[in-house]
Amino acid sequence: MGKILDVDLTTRTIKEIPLDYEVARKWLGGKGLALKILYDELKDLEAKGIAPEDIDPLGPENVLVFATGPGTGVPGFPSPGRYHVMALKSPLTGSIGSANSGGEWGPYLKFSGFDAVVIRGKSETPVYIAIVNGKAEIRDASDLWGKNTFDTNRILKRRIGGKNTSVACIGPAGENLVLMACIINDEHRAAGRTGLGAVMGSKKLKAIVVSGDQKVPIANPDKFKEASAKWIKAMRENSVTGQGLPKYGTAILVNIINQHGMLPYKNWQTGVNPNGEKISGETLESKYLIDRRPCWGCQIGCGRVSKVEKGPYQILYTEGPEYENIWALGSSTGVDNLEAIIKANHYCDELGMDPISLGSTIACAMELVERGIIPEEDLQGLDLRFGNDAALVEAVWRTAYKSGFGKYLALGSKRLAEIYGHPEYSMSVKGLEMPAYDPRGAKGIGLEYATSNRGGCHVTGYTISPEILGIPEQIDRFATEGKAKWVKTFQDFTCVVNSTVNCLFVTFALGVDAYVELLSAITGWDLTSDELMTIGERIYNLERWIMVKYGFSAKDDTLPKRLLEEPMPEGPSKGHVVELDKMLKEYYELRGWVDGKPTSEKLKELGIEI
Amino acid sequence: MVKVKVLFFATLRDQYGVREIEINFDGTLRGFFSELARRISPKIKEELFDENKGNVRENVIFLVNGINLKFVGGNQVRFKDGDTVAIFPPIGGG
Repeated sequence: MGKILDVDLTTRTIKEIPLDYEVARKWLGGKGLALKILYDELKDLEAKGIAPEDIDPLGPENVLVFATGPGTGVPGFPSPGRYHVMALKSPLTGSIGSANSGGEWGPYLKFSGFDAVVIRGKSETPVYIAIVNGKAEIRDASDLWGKNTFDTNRILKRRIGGKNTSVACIGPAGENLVLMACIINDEHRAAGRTGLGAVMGSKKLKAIVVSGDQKVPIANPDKFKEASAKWIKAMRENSVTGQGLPKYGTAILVNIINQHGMLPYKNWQTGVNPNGEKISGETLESKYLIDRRPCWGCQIGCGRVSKVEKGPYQILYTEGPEYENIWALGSSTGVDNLEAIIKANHYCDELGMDPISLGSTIACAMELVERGIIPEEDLQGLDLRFGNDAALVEAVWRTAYKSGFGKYLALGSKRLAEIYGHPEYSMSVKGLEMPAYDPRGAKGIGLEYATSNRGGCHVTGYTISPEILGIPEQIDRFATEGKAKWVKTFQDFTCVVNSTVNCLFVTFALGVDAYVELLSAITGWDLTSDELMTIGERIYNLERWIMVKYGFSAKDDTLPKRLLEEPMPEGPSKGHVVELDKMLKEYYELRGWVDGKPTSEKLKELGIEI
Repeated sequence: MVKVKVLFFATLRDQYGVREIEINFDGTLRGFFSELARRISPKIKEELFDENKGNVRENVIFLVNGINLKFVGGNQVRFKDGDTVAIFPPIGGG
């Protein structure tokens, strides 16, 4: 759309900044554009004498960027309904904040006239931002403060009106600065990880509403139409994007990962869940699924709509749960009651929290309780033991309101475990709780967790695809040789996807050549695969360079001791640990990094100004 | 002859109305699928097994005791008494 909205909540000023097309060519959009904006911000702060390590993630100097890319909101682009959010610093990890979400908000930001929104400063009173067909206003949100995300969404949609209207907001968790608070849009879609909801909360920013009917320009409509037809056909014919994901969603992974003996159970004490079937995608589909809900323009439609008819965990309409959510709230906590998991997941959406970090933090607490490390009196009646489904659901509310033991859960597992003197029971990397694949059963994902810039993350380099799913080819999950190349390639390509901003699931069917063709037609640029992958590598390196300024280095590219030193005790992955050092050495060589840091030669090669 | 437990997941359950069976066969991959065809339906063999290549179709996840078939001998695998086979159609996730 050619415009970026820049909002300063301290001075209550709004500016429109033209999108520099040279910047767009170099950084593509989405995550890349957001990162470039944040890097310029960081350099400004340094020039003002504020050292990067001193930036308070909950202070006014933190900056949030919501960004779309050239593919977002383009009808006929593969799964174009997503946006990317970044913060200069995550309150949970102290590294860069980064999250991605689906639904409608990303396309509707574009239809409202803007490619990205930058949020600076801090308001003294609760506000929301309304962006309607090219005009933006900061408005009073005192009547919304305290409301959950569902009510906030409905009130603001009614208030703004219009057909293409979407709300991204925080719930009570974000307002209360819970460190794993997230941003919820369209009621059940989440920019989930790294605590960006708390950043919004610290700025007293309740919501951003977008609305409009502006058309997204396409440079070569005929070429785009041809490319779109070709690649959408490929997606429909692909067994994953055309069949598996639409029918079962992501929850189908529960049984697959469990059968490989790497579904983390009871805070990663083992990879075999004896009750996996009860919380599987097959069980979800047969007992609770009532519909599918695709994101805007998506041809896959993996979103689930579920219902629990009756009982203590009744919920008559909810979306999800996804695989990661079922795992974190279920397998990780030992809870095998899928109805309780669905309800807990629903509350995470309602109150605005990341279920992965929350579930893992609850599981960490459960292990600390069962080992006698957390005394009963600290729990204040919250009986956190593995498998206690009532305690799981209660814990979600206590965390959002920092009530009783919830004030400890609200800190995330790393701080919780440190407070109780046993940091080794936090299953996190760089403070971000790892998701649902035990790397003792797939060594490549272990390298990904250790090196992912935002912390323990799987999606930024999803080697589960070749290691378990056989896409694009089946590789040996227990091998360490060659894994570094897979991780690097996936990390760089995922940066391209997160900068295009469309859905990562497209890449089960399509490779970089599809992006070359589609993006060239939209932008009019003469892109090549090499150029796109270089953009991806550039983004990954800039992100890492900013982390270096925060004090991160090779010492932080590691995994919890449990995964490095405790052999998997049972099942098909029995006896394995993660031989991280071997893979890390190869990874740094491929990256051109020393001690986990990009060299000045590498930065220069990629055109990153130091 | 060997006796093996076979677990079916995802769309295979709905399509063929089966979650788990035990089969007796000659211990080879072809023998395995011939027995499945006989016990369940020729269609399941057609869906999962490439007759020309003598191997499981691409992107089908076929595990023997939790290890992908490719790493336990591929189409030269020799099943043993008591093995557990888990079969998934092509799947994605995140």
